[in-house]
Amino acid sequence: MKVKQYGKIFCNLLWRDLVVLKSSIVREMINTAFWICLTIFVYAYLMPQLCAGGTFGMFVLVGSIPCIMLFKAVNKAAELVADLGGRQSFLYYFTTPLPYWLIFIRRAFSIALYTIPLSLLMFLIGGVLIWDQMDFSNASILKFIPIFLASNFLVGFCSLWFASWIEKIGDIEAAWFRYVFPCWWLGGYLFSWETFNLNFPLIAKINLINPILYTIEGIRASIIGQEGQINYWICLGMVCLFTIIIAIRAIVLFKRRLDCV
Amino acid sequence: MADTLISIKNLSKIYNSKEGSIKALDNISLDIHAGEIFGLLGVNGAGKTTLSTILAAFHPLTSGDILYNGISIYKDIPSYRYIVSYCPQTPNLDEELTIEQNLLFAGRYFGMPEDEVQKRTKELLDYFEFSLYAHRKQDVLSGGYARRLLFARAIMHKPKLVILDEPTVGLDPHVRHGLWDIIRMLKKQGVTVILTTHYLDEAEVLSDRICILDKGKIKLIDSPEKLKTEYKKGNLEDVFIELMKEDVLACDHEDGLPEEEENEG
Repeated sequence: MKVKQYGKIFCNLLWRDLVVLKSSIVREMINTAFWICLTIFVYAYLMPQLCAGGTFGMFVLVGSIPCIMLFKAVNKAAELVADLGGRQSFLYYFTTPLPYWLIFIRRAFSIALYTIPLSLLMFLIGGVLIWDQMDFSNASILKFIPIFLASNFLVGFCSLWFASWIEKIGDIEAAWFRYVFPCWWLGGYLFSWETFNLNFPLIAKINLINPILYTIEGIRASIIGQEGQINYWICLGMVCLFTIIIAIRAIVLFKRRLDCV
Repeated sequence: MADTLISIKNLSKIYNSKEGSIKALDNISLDIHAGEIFGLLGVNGAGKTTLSTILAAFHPLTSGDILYNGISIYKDIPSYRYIVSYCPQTPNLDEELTIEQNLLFAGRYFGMPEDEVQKRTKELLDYFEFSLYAHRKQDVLSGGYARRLLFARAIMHKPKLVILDEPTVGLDPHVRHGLWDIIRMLKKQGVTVILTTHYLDEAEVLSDRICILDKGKIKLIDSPEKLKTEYKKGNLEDVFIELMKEDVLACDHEDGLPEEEENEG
């Protein structure tokens, strides 16, 4: 009975998020299109003229999907931090008949709902821009869907975790420089983990604690193919494991921060 | 004797931080009767907002219990939240939604059937005079109207208990009086209201009973009329000043500092 009741309220909260997303999706898409168009121009057209291989554009485009999710998620964390420091509309949800942990989970789901269409649309736009370089001969939609969805939920909880410890909006820089930048840059956005491991084995092994690495490698494995990437199933498992760890940590920290019941 | 809706038993709240512990509420026990307007008064830091947020089941208590119809609310907090509503001091409306959507979703969050959600929203939009602006974002509203919308959202799911934290702070007198009418309307509908306020005139005209908190403890609970009679004062403000004076004198005695010595400074 309770599960049904909570489920209904949870769905209504997500419905609210979709209503909000509908009104802002065009603006968000235009913003993100700048990133993807410039990325495609540099890595698919400019870099091959210098030294990179002809398929480098597709390699980077696929690796960009989790990065777009991550950047959007950090913006959402900043929004939440600003809200908590100001009007506190987020706190209203703690007066609804839901347990506190579900309200936090809903926030992460809400971010995933927001990053799913944006990152997917950006991938499609990027794909059209480098259509002649795209090779889907090793792609598997059945592999892509789970890793794509799991990656979105992972960044949703990452966003919640950032917001759980960033005290004020000015401190968002700490999240960017200490976590987002290393995770993004070492996550294999421009190179595979295998290449990294061949050249810097120690750092590459330390980098295995980077959750974004598994999202990038897993999505690449599902679109470009398994060769040269970390095993797809390991990636999917690690993304799920990191999601659970980060979710628990974020909920514990947030509960302590808000002192909610 | 009036029916007890909420019973607070030996409630204490301690905030722990790196700097140390602060006892915000100290062993508070009181009953809130069904259908009354219960005024919570006190100087800044007296513990009014802390008590309000604990009653709204937002913050946890450190010790003690809160009973609703004789059963601890902590046995099933989500169920308790169906009967309670909390209006914070700063309107925390959903700025991404329109005025109408703020109400619609408030009803849905509380599991109301969709036809009832639509009906109740229309009813409240009309009553609170929002019909013309229903499809606009709430940021077009002035402070007073934002507070009205907050009230409307709070009563959307027909709660039995509404907690209003400083509902009229910073508003013009005519807007305040408009909100007083709404509070009276809630009482007429049988809703219990806990009114936290700094305005003693507001507490006097609206409250059936008043609780004065001081440093996290209950100083007294009584009706405004009885207090005025007991202290032989014409209004609640004079009673409050008298009480605070007593407190200052008591503190001076405890410190052992006669007034003359202090003045020599």
